[in-house]
Amino acid sequence: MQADQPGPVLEVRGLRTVFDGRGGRETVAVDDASFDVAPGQCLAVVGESGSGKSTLARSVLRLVEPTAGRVRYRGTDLTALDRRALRPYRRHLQMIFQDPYASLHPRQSVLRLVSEPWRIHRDLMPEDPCARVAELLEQVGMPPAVIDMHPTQLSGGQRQRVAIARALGLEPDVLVLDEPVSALDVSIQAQVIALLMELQQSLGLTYLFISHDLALVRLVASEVIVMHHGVFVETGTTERVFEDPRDEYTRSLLAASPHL
Amino acid sequence: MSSVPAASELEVVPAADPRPTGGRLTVHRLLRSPSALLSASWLAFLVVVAVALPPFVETAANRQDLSLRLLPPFSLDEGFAFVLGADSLGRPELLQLVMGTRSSLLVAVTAVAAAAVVGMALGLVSGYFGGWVDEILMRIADVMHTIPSLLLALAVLYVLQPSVGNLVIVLAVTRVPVYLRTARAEALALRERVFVESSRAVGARDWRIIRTDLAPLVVPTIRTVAMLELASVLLAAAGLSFLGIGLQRPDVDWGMMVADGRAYLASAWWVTVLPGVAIVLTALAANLLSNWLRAAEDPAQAARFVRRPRGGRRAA
Repeated sequence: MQADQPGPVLEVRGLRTVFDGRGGRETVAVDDASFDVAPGQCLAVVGESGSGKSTLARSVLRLVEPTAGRVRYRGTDLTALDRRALRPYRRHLQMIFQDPYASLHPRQSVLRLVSEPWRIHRDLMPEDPCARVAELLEQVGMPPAVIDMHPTQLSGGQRQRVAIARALGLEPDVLVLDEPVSALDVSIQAQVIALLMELQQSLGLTYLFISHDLALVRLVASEVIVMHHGVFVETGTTERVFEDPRDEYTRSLLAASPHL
Repeated sequence: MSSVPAASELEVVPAADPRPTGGRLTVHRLLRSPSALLSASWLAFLVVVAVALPPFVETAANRQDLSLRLLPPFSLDEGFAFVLGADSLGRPELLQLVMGTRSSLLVAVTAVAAAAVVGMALGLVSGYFGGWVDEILMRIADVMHTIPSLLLALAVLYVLQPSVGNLVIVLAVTRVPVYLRTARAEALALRERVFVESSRAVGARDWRIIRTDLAPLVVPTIRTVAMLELASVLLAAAGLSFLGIGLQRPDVDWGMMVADGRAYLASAWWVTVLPGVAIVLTALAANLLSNWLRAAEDPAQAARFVRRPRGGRRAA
């Protein structure tokens, strides 16, 4: 981790992602997105369903190929790399998916799930993978006994913890959290969020936090981007956006969330 | 990390789970399913017979004795070798069956295995990558589908030497599209799953995703199809042997025995019926076992096969 370098961890400029539809119709999922993420920051992207938040996250990681624009990670232009050259960078930017029931391979044990990334990034392979997996599980608050279990034997919250352990095993710099708790029970959500915030503190992680839960965003994020139909309608510090929303859409979004 | 709430305190975490896993679990479940156990035993018995006995009985099996032709079965007067009677040239039916077991299994298993491996690999590539690779492979599969496989086998074996090797190749090639289509259909659905995206996010390349993410989920289906195919390949090999372009005497397989006995069906039913029963039982066993294996290996369906003690089920 190169947390002591100055400047933003992520610089996104003019990112645009267009999907081809039927009959030549195009859907602009993300249009002209530009933002910086500073080291150790938690930047939240909020918006309603279909506003392009998840596509934005996937475009930044090039899980979806952006149509135009630049993504720089600590000075390296990820969008300019070919797929082979991109691969070593992948470990620095990890993603936690919304649905832990879908994001873990159903036939792999916890041990396999967490250790699989090391088979790709061989330089990170620990001397004793079992011990390291147990250590990572402890870090995410799981007992070492789950190491031989399969995802079907775990609850949603436990699965999401395994997914987090899998990502942490690569010692990432940036975690992209795509609605990391919205598929979980309300009672479990708070625990996983507490874990994520604790990890951010202790490991100096940078978060790009995708969510539609405004109360949650207010709690965890330092800056907020409001997205609507693929476009950024408002950007600012969390406090400013929530206290003094300037855009009409932001105001309606806040008004629609009664528990704020 | 002491301030992180331990999941064990807050969520229901099953304690160290005593349930066996992997191969041990499969054997454990097998013992609880009578039909699967019976099927597996029958197939295992055939494999043992096919491997162990032929060297000892080969000479006796092909000895012709016209004084014993169409000897009725279930009599020990001529010795144990003739307990199932004799065929039209006085060869002992039991020993012919033993020799036939080896040829039939060898041809069918090899052809099915080759077709399954090749078909699955091509299907995964076709379904995962899509595009022109998919187009080309599927058009080839379509073309092969329009040619009757027996006709193709006939033509190829007529031109080439009819030998066990060529028979296997022809049978395998004509069955590849079955696996190709199955694997492709599964790969098409699986490649959209989130765990594939998760693998991509940790930097896995396409081949790795196909191998570690897709293949393990496609194998059970392919194995089910392969076991079902075993029966039809067995019959196809029999048909080719009957037409005289499959195995050649002194080699013998069950299909050839059925064909040989046809002329005597009215007077000596055993010459046709016994190898026929062998084919039917083997096909049935393969089907039952394949069905059981598919379900038993699926963690989601495992509950149907393992009766847990009361209260032993925990909330997942």
